[in-house]
Amino acid sequence: MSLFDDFAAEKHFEGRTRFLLGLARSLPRLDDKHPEDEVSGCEARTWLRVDVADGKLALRGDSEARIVKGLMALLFSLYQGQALADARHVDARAEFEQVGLEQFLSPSRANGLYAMLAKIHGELG
Amino acid sequence: MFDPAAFRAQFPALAAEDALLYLDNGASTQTAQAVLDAMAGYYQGYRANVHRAGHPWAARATAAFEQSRDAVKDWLKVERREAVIFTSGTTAAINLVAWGLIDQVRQGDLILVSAMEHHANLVPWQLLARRTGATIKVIPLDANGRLDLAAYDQLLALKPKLVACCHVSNTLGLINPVVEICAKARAAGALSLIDGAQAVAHLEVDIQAIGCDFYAFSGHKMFGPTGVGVLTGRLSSLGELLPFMGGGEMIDKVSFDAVSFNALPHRLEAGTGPIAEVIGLGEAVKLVQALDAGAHERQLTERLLAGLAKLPVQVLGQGERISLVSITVPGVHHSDLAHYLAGKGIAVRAGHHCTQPLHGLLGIAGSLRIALAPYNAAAEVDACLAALADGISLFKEMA
Repeated sequence: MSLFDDFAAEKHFEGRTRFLLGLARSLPRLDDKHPEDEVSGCEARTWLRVDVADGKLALRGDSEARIVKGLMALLFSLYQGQALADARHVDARAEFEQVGLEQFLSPSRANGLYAMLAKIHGELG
Repeated sequence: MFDPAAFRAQFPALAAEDALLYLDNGASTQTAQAVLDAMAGYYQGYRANVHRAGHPWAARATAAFEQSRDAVKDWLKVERREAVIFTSGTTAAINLVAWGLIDQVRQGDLILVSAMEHHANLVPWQLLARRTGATIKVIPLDANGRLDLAAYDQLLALKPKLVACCHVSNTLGLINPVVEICAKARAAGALSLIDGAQAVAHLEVDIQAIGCDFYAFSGHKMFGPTGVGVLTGRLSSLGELLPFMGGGEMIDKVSFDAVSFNALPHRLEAGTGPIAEVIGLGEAVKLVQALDAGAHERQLTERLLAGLAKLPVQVLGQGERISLVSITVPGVHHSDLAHYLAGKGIAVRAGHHCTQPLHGLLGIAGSLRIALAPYNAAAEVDACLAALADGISLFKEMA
């Protein structure tokens, strides 16, 4: 079971929100927030740092809004620790669509999610 | 006697089965059926361009278009119908003035703006300042978020060229003493521009009593269409504006060497305007003019403020206000709360509401804005308060 399956298993708005808040809580705080890590296009100030160690992705991030941070954790679950070659083949958009994430989010919040995805993809080359 | 249910019944969107609990009226109100009918009537019955052609549809369209001008004139007690200029909205109206003053503003001139201005009443002046070498100074706020009138007096001693101020703050909801602001500006030799976008649907506005040189508002915040608004004010001041755009009805005579301009209002209405929307705006004016919802709105606002006082929230700004309240919640991000409310079918606004400098001044990145209209009911205020309480609890529990 992936986190996306768990999200999809929550059928109602309240449960889905609670689930994302739980995920947000699981993501460590980013204490060293660098301006170059800030993601524009999110409704709240959001930082995302993509490092590569031994050919594998190491993602860290933070947001002032917890729904955004929960979404970030969900997104990270697709990429964290993946080899670069594998990560390039991940179809995050298909995952978002399959669990109805777009209907759950406002357009501006979905844009923020796509901005985070674009930043990860930017680092994948 | 105002009947909230009867008023609400005029808005088809609010009766839809999947209708939101709509409290984002500061951004845009819903559109009344009479407005929709007037616009459809034009498209379905007599669509033609205005002012130019001689055929019957053009005559009918022109008559309907000009009736809207008369409606605005009568409603806002404008001195002459020629002082009602149709624009695409408040932003276009303010930009029209900022461009129109380009020959009158010189290097070193001073422009005063209030600290609570919407970007639409700040950025046009920044652009004008950049083009002319003028400078901008800000009228500060007092501890309650009201304009600091003593500081304003001091700034007026610097002999500004223009004072730009909102009638009602779109973030704080506070009503500014525009009569005093404009009288003092005039006495100091400055022109005055009042952004009335948040005022016209809530307050009785008398342009001559306000005494401003320019006044701007939009149709979509007063139950009318989007894409239409008005610049009005003092006919003599409007007459001094250089046309911002050329073409169409704004000309008098054109040769390859020269152009002379038409009289107001056409001089400032280049090109074909939003004809259906202007006609729709006329209907919205009739609706607002007949509206007597002050007591109802005050009751709703008091109910909202009393409910908010029981929650761990901070209300931005204290003073005489319209039915618009922005809040921050310590420990909960405004976008998280807006997400929660949206999930409960409640439409509010979260963010900086296009007043980034004001939010910066208050030391916050954004806020949550609840903006009521006369079609809102006490039960909706209660539902919003209950959802806010639930949302705050959830975010605190899951912190």
